[in-house]
Amino acid sequence: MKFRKAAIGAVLVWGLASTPALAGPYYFHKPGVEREAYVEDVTLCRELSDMGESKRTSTPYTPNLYAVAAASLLSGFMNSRNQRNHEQAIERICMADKGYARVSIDKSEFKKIRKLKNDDDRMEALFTVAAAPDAIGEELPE
Amino acid sequence: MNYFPSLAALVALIASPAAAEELKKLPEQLDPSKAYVLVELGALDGSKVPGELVLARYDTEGGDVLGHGRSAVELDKKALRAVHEAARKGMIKDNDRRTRLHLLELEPDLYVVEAANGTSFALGSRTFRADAGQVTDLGVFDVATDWDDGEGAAKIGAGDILKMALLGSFGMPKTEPRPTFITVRERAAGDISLPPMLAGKLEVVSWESDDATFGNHLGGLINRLGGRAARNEQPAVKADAPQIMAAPITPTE
Repeated sequence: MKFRKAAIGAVLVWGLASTPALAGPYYFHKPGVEREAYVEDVTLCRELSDMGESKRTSTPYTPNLYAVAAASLLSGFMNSRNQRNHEQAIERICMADKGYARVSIDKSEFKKIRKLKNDDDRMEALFTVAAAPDAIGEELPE
Repeated sequence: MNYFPSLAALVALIASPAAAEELKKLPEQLDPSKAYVLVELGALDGSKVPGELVLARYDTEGGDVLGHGRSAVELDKKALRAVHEAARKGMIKDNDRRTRLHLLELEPDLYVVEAANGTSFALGSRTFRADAGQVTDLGVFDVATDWDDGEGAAKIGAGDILKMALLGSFGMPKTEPRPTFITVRERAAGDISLPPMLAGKLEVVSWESDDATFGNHLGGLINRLGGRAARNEQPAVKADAPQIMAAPITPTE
């Protein structure tokens, strides 16, 4: 039960992710995939991507305090963006390896699923689109 | 007070690995208590970027790198670092073919090919046993970028250079990061000539498994050792396949 709860959390966060860098939300689609297999795949890929560490940009030395503050803020944003992109790259490679296609999803459909309050309902809605015979959006590059 | 060490501490003490290292030159004499691994490594995509290879001790029971993630073996921080050993510098270089011959001195154990040039082969890699007093020849490894269909390295034009000069990293061409993969082959004529000292002492590797999985402990991108081409392949080497035991090195006076 504990595993299932954790896995559902993983599916909801990672199985249907919005990527600013890649313009638009997407999900992973594999026709006819079993629910258990889907949860297992997403959980494993999430574990691997969570362990990812992108290269951090360093802040150059300057005696000017304002410049230090500005540079730190900027490098903080950069590092955060790089880390997010790095984790998503790992997740996409992993899911592709498991036989999933990355498919774009309509923003309204994406929001509709995310708005569902109950974990089981969200899981059901997500799994339905992931395992459907046909993808609901355009297939994206890995 | 209990003066007896806990079971976990005992396991850690026993499993604690001593330092492994990449040899920069041939030793005068091979240590019969150590395991040696020989590999010729090509540059990344045949470019000027040298190939880098990381081997790690593998825990078959836990299905992970020894002391990490799913492995039940407990190691301290220093010992955890010593579980991984990288081939970077090389002992002999072939500048024309841009390959380097590496010799690693390791603790005898089961090893997994963990990573190459920033990519961890966590989705499926090869394991082999490195026994004490043996020089195991892994063969020749070529490291390449695992491009998606129709992709390739970004072509940088004069406009891109101008953008990079003005905007720094913000002006870099946008490309998706791609992992690397390895092509493994046996040593053949035309490869780097082996030092006479190793003649007759080499044992060609006997792969125990080619589908070993583990965590992304180095934090880089991930892949299978054979890349996307190996995704749908069934494992060719079974973990329970009979192993050919090689003759140990006899110490020379």
